[in-house]
Amino acid sequence: MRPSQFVLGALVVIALALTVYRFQRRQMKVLDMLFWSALWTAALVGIVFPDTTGFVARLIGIGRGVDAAIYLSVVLVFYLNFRLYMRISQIDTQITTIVRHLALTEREPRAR
Amino acid sequence: MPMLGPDGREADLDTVFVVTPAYNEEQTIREVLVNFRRRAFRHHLVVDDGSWDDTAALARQEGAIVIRHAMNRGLGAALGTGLAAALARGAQVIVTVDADGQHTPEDAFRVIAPVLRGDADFVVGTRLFDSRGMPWHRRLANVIANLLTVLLFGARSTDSQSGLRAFSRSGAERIEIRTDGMEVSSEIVGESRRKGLRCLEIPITSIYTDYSLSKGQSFWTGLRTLRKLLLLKLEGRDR
Repeated sequence: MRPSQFVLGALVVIALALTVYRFQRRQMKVLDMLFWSALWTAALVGIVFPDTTGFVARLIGIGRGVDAAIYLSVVLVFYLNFRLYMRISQIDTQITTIVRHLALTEREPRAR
Repeated sequence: MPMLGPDGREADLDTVFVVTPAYNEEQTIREVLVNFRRRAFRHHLVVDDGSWDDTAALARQEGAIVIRHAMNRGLGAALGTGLAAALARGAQVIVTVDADGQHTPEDAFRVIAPVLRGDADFVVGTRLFDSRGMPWHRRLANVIANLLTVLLFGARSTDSQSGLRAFSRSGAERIEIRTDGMEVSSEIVGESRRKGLRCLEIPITSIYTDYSLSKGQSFWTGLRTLRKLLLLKLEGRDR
């Protein structure tokens, strides 16, 4: 096992452990837990058995395993970024709803 | 049917509400309120969008109804709150006016006139029929904004970014504002077309001062607005 594999593998294991930990403390929903666990497990398999990435690469018609991993990561990062944006924009709307509700139900002092 | 003189004396303004979204506008809010009250606009509703200066206190002193956002939420959010508050107080006609003093009561009369006559549900006061005094970069920005409003919302407008607008009660009830920021101007124009409101554009003159220019959309906020409009379209929230 090369040093890079060891370091990356350790990081992914920590991420996997954190996912399970947060799920156990009910800070994460089942679907999110499954999504992240699957993602980290796939990454771990790719790191420990690099040949599997080569197999995936051939499957989707990209030359090398490392290239396939990078392409997929970029797509994933874009997707997660978009999901994050959607979530923030949803929270933004909710904050406005609350602020508006408070503003409209507040009794206003009148000067005249 | 009441006829409107520019002094507004013959007009029945009892059910007309002026809505002014304001964010840190203590320099101009008083003047705006005084000007409109002098011209017989009785109900002036100021939405203080989380200002940290004396905007709310000054507006109250001048007899405005002040609705306060606990935190700054942006122009769109403030307009949405303003329309809801005016409707709740029984407004039959609502006119939105900027707090920076660029709109005159005379132009407000011009935009509410068709609504009062029952000829329109939504009227925009457009600055481009008479763009004298508008700096060239503003004019360019407006052209781009209008183009985008057509592309994204399918609504043609000669001045989609104008802050002087009039709504009939039913028009204001039907328009749903979902955006929080400056992109609301395009959204309202798009909404009015989609909901099939009877729309009109009326030429107005804008008073450009250094202050009002500093308050409007700069190049960078313009870019931010553009990004938000594109994302709004992408998300399909404009449907």
